[in-house]
Amino acid sequence: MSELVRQEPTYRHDIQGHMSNEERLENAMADFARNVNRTSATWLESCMHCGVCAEACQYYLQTDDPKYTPVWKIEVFKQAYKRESSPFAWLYKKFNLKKEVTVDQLKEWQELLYDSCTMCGRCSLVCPMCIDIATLIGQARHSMFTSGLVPTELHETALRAHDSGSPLGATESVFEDRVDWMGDEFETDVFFDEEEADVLVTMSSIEIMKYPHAIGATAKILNALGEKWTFRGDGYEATNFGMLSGNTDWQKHSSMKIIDAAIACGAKTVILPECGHAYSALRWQGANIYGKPLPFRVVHISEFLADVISSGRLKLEKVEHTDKKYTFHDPCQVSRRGGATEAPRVVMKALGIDVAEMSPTGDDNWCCGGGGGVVTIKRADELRYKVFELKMDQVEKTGADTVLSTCSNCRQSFADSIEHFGWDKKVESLLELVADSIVDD
Amino acid sequence: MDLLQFATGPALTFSFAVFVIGAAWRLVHLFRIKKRVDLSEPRGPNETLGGIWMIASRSINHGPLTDRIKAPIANAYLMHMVLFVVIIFAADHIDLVYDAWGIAWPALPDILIRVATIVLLVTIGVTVIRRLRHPVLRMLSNFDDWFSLTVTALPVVSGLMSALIEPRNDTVLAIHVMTVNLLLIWFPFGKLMHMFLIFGSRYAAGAAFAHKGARI
Repeated sequence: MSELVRQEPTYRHDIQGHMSNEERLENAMADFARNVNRTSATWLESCMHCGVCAEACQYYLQTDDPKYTPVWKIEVFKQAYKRESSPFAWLYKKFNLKKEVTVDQLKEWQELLYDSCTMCGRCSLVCPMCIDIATLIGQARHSMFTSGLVPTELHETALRAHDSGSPLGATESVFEDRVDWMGDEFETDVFFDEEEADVLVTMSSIEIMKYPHAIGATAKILNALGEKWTFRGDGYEATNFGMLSGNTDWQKHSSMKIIDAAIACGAKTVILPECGHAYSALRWQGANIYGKPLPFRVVHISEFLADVISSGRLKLEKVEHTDKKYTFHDPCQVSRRGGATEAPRVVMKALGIDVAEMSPTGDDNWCCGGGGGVVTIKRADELRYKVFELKMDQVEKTGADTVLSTCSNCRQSFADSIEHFGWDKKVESLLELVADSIVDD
Repeated sequence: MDLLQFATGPALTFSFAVFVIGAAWRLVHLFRIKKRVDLSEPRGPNETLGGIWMIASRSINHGPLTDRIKAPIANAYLMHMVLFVVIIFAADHIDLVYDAWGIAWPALPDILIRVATIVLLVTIGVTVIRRLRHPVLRMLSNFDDWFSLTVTALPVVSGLMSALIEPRNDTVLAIHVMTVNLLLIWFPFGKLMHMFLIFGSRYAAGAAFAHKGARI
């Protein structure tokens, strides 16, 4: 249908593979059609073009650029759905009421689908129709991948993760070295490749390579609890760049490593690290990838800590010796989209932290701007920093000097922006704070 | 057969049939698409309740909105509520239903309906102006948005004219009924279907997030 005034996205894109434009288009459309289910079709049908979602999106609010309106980011796929498979598709097609999507459109939308959406899901909180735009963005990313239209850095990172087992070079041998090192550093036992264990512990590459204390902290806590646990070389990497980039096969490959490792050692529980998207990938998508319910429980480390603290199994001393003033950053995929919003607050309460909550906080909190693979995309840096100013403003208003989080990707995003802006704040891991506060029986 | 008889007779029957069949087809089409089964272990107590709760709660809890969007949302609420009042409680509308199906309910006084209709027109006018002026809405707007607003406004204008003209003018009344017919015919094809889709869309999100124990 004829549109009135419309500003098209800026033309900037990367491409992969040797495909004709027709093949790219065919792949994208076929994939999108294949992945449309009743729920996503209902959402694609339901948008009223009210624009309310823009008011919940950090990218729009920080730039005032309408192209960052969340639902606009899936416009080409809405267009394709309406023309190809909606109830009146025959009408749209016959009279060309919805134009055929072109490869140039897909290329133009690459920035909107990858650079300017962390899939934080904040837009869904305000949509009058409750359209889960983040889920639709995820489906659109799958289609973009099949047509070779992924930002180069994200594609390379995902490829590296698939080929070497880690997006940051944390190969099995590197991981094992780091585990040994952290065992020494924390003077605690570490268990690697145990044939039998009740708990399989996973880590994110960011932790392994940049924040390895997470390894020692987790080991120390599990040893204090007397758990029978292990790391495993055949299933340790919790990040899932297949999911973030949109490659279903790579996503499955990454998830199945952990699932197979857990089954191999008979784990009853798999602990996911301080990583938001790892939680989405295994906790909520793992069973669907596996094709049946997982034969073990999957928990985020903050949920695990909240459980053992609430049940009295883990005793912590209060963090009273510090003059730090803490605030807490909710990782979107764990809190808003994961449902584990209260877990870190249980932990902070047990630590005696008088946390200065941000406004808004909890499920309504603003994203750090680094999720959804955005932090890997170099060309998106300027926009990411612009978006982070919103988070800086939030933190400043709390009067806190230290930000706690339960996501290493958020932590990395904070650390990068702290350096970029020369900001006088610190970002720390809640897990590591817990490990430092264990009361020995 | 004069124009009023045509408008209220075969034209209304046809447009009502298009409305019913078209809306049903659009909904049935959705139900024919495969449903995604979530195999992950649920955290929430009940997905069905979550879905039903979302249908109701999103009308009350609008989430973390910026202040500048609150007035437009209030306008949208007012528009929908007044539209409902005018359609359901205008005496002439109740008479029409009584003639067709033999059921009736108390009507609101004409003066209240006229005031409500004027308020309705103002809210539609505000919606149009905002859609023309706001960069996001200008970008999002397509034929469906403008045509749906037009076919919604036309029965309101013609209905008010019909009510205000004394004595009753059959031609104006026929025009009013014809604009309603146009609204009914367009209804299944455009965004006006949100009147039905809102239930499915909200339910789907509510159920999915109840599964995760997430608020949404």
